[in-house]
Amino acid sequence: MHKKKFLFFSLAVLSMSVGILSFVHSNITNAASTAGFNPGRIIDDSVFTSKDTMNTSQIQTFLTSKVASCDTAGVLRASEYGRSDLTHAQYAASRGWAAPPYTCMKDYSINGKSAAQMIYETAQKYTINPQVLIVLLQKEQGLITDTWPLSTQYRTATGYGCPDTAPCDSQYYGLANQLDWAGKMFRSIMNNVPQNQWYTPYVLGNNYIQYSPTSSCGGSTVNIQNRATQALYNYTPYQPNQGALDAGYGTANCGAYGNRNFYLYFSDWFGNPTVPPVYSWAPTAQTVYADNARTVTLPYFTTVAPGQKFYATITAKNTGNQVWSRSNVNLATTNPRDQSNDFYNSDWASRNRPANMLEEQVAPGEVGTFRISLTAPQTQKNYNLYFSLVVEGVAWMNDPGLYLPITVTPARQLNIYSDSAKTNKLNNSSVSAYAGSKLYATLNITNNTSTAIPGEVMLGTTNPNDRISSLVDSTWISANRVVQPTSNVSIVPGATAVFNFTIKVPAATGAYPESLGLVIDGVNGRWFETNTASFTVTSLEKPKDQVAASQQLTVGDGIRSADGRYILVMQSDGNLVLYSPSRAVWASNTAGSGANTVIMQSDGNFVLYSPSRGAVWASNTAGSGANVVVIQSDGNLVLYSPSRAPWASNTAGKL
Amino acid sequence: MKKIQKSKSSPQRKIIIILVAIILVALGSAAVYARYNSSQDSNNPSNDGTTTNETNLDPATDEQKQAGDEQKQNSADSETNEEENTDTLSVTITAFNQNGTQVQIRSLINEVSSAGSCVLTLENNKGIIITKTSDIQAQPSSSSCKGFDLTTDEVTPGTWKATISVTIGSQTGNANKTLTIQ
Repeated sequence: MHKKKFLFFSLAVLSMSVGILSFVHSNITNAASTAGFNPGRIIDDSVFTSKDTMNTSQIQTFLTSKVASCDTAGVLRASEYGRSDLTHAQYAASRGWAAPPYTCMKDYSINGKSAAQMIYETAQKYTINPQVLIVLLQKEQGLITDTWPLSTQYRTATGYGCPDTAPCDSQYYGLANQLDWAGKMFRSIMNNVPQNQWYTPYVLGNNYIQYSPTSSCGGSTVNIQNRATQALYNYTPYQPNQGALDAGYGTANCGAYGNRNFYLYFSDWFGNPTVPPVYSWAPTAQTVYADNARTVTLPYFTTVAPGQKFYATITAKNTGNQVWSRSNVNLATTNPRDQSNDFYNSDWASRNRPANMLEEQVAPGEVGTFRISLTAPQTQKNYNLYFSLVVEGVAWMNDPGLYLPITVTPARQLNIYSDSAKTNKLNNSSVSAYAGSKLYATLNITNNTSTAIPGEVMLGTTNPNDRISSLVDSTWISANRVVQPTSNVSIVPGATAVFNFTIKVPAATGAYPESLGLVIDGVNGRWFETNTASFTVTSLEKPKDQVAASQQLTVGDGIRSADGRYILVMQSDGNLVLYSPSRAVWASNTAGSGANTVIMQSDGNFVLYSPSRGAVWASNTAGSGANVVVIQSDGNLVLYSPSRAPWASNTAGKL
Repeated sequence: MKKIQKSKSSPQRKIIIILVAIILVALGSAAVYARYNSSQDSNNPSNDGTTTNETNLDPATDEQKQAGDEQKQNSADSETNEEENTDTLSVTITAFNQNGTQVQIRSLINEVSSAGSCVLTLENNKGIIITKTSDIQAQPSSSSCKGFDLTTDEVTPGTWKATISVTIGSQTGNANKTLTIQ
């Protein structure tokens, strides 16, 4: 029985001991130390500006918790100053300090407004964490823990306007005034608006910071990493030396305690003032430019020519809690990450690092700038260039999916068609057509320069300039001025102008080289560009009995069999009709369709086109290899490929 | 012969021992629970990256109060001291940073004032002298010149001797530093 009791009692004692040790351990680990103090990052911006951490009631509860009882009348002994023989009031009098009443902060009010309310309102007004203001009041005047604060402590509550070596400036007196000045200054520094800059002794980056106002105490270079820390140094422009850090809340030779005590009080009362590092960003703008000076913008959907050099600027807001440094934050290719980019040029650090940051440092909430130069590859297609930010050797930031849509296409693109509907495309640089027929051309010109081209620009003959052309059609402006663009608005850099024009194939057979350029006539007339498009038209003699590949018959045209008896006519009523000496033996039956051209297409199809309706009849022999249609002396209209006849009118012998 | 019997506890004594043991176990468990709960709260990061540490509502510790008392004494004493009237200002060039083509030079003046002026003089070994002036920005416990922001168009790459001279009323002070512009 004794043994059982002993065991039971021992268990209870052991349990109690574990509990007590846990509490002791808890108290030891919860006591703040300066081990985590970083002079370049005392508090993070996100913590510093969390204005809703406490409401007025919570601030009041906090203030009440820190003072068990107050000595408003100053009757308790001044033992904290080693003068147990004097009351607080007597001790104050002996040093020339203010007389009672001594009102604790938890009880302090002005015109019915409590100190807690003033702290809360200042926090809301300037978007500053009220905990920061509470700690400021403590580290500057000890007001939070003071059981008998002097009236002078309230009038210079945040130490604003109080140099270390002289009395305070009366223009800043008063608790509300002091809080307001502190909030105003903190907010100005956090905003960092150039037009209303609050000049501080220190900047983001490297600064020489002394250990105390006494320069002989020395100092060191501190890399200030965020605006909140920059703002704290505006209050106490000194850093603690190692002795001050080792002393906890205590003192040391050559010590300065303002920033150390801020860190300790904040840690002890509200937790760690720094948070895990977060690197993140949000794009704020992306702009593509024609010029390196970034004066001429290109459209969002940018079109450039192969080999063309152009430029882009991407701006990025720092949405994390870390300061970006130019030395390690880069714009990088993504999708997939680090892909070798086709638009690389020698301005890039590498094929996956198009730009580093323009600014030396960018604090949370600020915007960084990345300027890229790009050179379009030779392969003509649509590209989406994806970019994100990377902290080299640390982390990739979030990928918001930013990309630049770029189309690489020839800046000068000429297409010539055999039909007005522009469905049968011919070779662009050298075309052949029957004498007297018409060809239809489209010239797309993308302005890949950095200056706008006026809307009144037109195509003119060049080589030499103003040469009288042999290809003049009745639709031309003159014999050496072809046409204006379809839209006569200014062609801004990056925009594409379209020139549609008709070519009349000369009646005389032979080759006719043509060259066109961009010109403006009149008093401010000048050539923008010569030899923009060059091509040769070869005029062919009309064959008597056949239509060869890529050739056509237009209204009124016809072919006749070698014996002269049969004729195929492209009629003005839109019907294509084969006549024997006595009657029509075959027809496309397209009268009234508006068809006016029949083409022996290069794809092997023999097609009848209407300008308004497109193809109205076809032999349906595309892909057959057919390259000529012949009207034979037997009356049969036959489509031939080199090896066979894929289509015929089956009218042989019909008279 | 009388048989010797083992002594037995009275029922009341047994009950008291059991009750004390139960209380001790309960207290120990509560302590462990409180410790566990406290550590959970203080290590719980919120979604926005800020920490959700519980506000410490314990009374101020002795060392916190002592640090506060010392600050109070320094502050109250400085309020009653006569202002020192010296003719010399303590001036320090605190920051020199180059951000691409932008050059920042900052200073610390050991006096609170928004009146007065600063003059920055830069001189290189070719004898080129650049002079800039600025007003003064009052800080809570010090001041600094409202400047200086320059560009490398003005201050070309090379070594420059920088001097900031400050005048506040009858007081003057200056600081020197050698700067290397890249």
